[in-house]
Amino acid sequence: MQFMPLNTLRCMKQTASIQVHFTRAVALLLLLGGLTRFVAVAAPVPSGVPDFTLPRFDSSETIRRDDYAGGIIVLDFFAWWCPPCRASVPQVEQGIRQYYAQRGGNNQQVPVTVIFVNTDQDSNAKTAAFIKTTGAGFVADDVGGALLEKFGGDGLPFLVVLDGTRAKQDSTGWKVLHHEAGFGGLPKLRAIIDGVSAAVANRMPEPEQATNSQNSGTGILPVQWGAPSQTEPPINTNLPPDGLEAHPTKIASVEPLPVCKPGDPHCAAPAASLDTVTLRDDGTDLAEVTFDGLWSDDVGLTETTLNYRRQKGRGDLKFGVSLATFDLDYRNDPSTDPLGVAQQLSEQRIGFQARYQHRLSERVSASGGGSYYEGFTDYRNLWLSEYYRQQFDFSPNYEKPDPRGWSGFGGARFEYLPATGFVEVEGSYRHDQVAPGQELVFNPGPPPRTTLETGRTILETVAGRVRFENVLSRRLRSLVDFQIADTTDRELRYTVQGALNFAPAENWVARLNAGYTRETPQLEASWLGASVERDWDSRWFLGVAARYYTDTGYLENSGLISDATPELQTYHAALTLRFQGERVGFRLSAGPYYSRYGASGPGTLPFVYLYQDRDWFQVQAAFTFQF
Amino acid sequence: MKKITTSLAITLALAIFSPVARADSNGNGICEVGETAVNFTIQQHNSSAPLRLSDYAGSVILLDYFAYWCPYCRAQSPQIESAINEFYKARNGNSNGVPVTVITVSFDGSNPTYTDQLIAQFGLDTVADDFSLTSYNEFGVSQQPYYVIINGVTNSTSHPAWQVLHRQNSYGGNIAPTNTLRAVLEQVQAGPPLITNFRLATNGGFEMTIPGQLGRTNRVEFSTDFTTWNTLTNIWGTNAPITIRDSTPATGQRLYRVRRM
Repeated sequence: MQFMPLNTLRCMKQTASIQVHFTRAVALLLLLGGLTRFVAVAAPVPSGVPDFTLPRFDSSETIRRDDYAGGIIVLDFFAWWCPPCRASVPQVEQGIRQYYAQRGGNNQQVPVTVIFVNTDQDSNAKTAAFIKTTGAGFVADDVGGALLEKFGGDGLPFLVVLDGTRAKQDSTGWKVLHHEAGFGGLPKLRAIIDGVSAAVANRMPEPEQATNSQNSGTGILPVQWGAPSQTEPPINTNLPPDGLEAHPTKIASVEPLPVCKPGDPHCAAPAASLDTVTLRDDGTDLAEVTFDGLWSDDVGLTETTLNYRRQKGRGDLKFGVSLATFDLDYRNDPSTDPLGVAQQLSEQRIGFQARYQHRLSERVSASGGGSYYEGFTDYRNLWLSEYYRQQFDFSPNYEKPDPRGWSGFGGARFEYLPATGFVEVEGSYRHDQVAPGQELVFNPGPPPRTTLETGRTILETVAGRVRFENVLSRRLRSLVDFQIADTTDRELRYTVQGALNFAPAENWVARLNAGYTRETPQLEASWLGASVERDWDSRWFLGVAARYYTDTGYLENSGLISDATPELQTYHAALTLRFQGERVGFRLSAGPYYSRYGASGPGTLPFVYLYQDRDWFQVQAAFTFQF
Repeated sequence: MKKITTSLAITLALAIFSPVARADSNGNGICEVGETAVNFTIQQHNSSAPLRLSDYAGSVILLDYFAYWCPYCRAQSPQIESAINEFYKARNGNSNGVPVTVITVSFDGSNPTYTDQLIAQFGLDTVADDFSLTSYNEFGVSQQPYYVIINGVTNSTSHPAWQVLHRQNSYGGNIAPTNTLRAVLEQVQAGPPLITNFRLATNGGFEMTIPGQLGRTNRVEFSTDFTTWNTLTNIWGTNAPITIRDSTPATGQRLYRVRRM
């Protein structure tokens, strides 16, 4: 799906500017960690107001600018696929169009005409559905967005307020009072509209700046949409065999932003996920099923999640249940564990998670949630537990592990720059009852000399995170994420990760992400991922993705037997097919996954078959339904 | 028929030293390399009968401290069994002809089932129990596996009787230090070669048995006057004793001796 068909000249121009922004964006990311405001560069507003004649959407009539000379025109540019528009159009319809229609004009009786302008070039049926859903009362077509371009529109929704009070006699008397990407809220818009007085014949022209309202950054926020938080419950720790990924360092994809930019990766390619499905104002119910499977010769892992999401008004509730399965062929190392027994292990983990987000104001949302699970968090723990069981279950002190845990988090999201800058802060607490490492300790004092010592079974993790999302240009967005986590008996773990989404060409979206984690002195990890996706017909998407991950492993060797992981590299590639319909979406992704461990340390000798290289095949699927 | 007087080869009468006391030179209570081992008494694993260090006099002794729960012991004990015990058995001792005894010392009796399974699986030859930690503490064992080599050749020409030759902690690996252990085991020299089974051969001459020594030459010499010695033969070494016959004895007396070359 493309936003607007740009003529050749504009395409070239934009390509050039993207590169500039890209370079600057990278520099800013590095220097300022995303704190910097990087304003979307809009084409300069022409000094005069372009004359326009637009066809009405649902009839053959046309709408001419000068038909409304003497009054105020509010142009609200939208497209059916633009989620923020879904939120803003009903407000403009009710709070501006109907509001002033009932009052016969603004507070100085200047007529106010609101024209909703469809910029999408096709999908009439979807646009019609959008109009019906949002109630937009007066709609014109600007297919391809030519007029939007003339106003310097660089994102949707794009609002323009035109003052025609002095244009009755002279069509050059039109003035642009205000233009902004993103919906700044009703009070602001009304203040601008109500500031217009009826034309007085002998009135002096107002100073230019008095009417030239800039997008000053004081505007009120667009309604937030999209995934509010990256906080995944600890459930999602099963699948990747990477040592680290069992911990909350999982990289998040770039979250959607509340303004759609042309070629914007998110708007152009809505993911088949709860977070991007059309949300109706009258409350929306969504169901989602996801499946993630990973298989190698001796290990099979799956995780199936059922999510339900309800959004109504300012509230957004999401609830999920997940079931993970582990099937693995446990093998003992005959040299260090000659009495061990090869076993087929099958275990399950069930998890529950809930999240609620509430829009406190136009610019601020708060969220909170929690999760609970019972079962092993990943297959490595299951493997290790089987080893310990075989070694030590003769001991009266041996206890069968009962891994389970819960977590809670709270956070807030704040739009610190209208439509272009977002910050999220979040604090979380995790309480995990883990399957502990065990060893027999021999004490040459008085008998009994041999005791079974058990590692820590309760791990508490307190983590804080800050995240910045920035719209750097029409086609480039960034995300920077900092995280600090403190887990019982471990050093502080720092994680920084960043992502860039950009549109290298029409119908193409590319994503890059990279991250680094350090836990002095034991662990370092870094990763790099890239993907590109091609949009075929605004419903079907085909993409490829690749990812590389490396870590140093845990260097500690705390006991006689250390189950610390050796160093690890993983390589992941996938082919992705997506479909995004109006109410139904699905996503299918498959590809190879290679995990390569470094040499085992002496402490990990009994686990040579756990820490062996594996060639996996991964399949991920998601199905979303709105009802 | 002339009476032929023979004289046995000269042997030095060596007292058999018992490993009764050690010289604990630094007073830390641990028997270090160079000190003399105590003649500890532990138990034979199979019979619980006493097993004394002195029972293995005449050989060089390798103690392998072992516990059923110790993964490195599990990894290394089979290697010790094959690369030390069976290796030297097949050769009748080290290259100096000194027998090598490997004693696996099980010091934790808390799981006899596992221990017995491991012993059977590894085919361990000589296993002792030291559940009272007598020798364990003696040698300051702290981590396992732990290896101690003691010279039990009481008349060795290279080392004092019951001297501790080597202590090694091999914790943290699955490769037994067999090369290091062999190098120490090889250092121990036998006592002086003794002529045994000296007798008149039925068809004339003298027969005697000469100890073999792998890689070494034992030269048999004779003399009539204790002054002038002539070579009778050189015996190149296998470890097996060899019976030789001097079929041309002259009248009078003939003295024999063996020299280790």
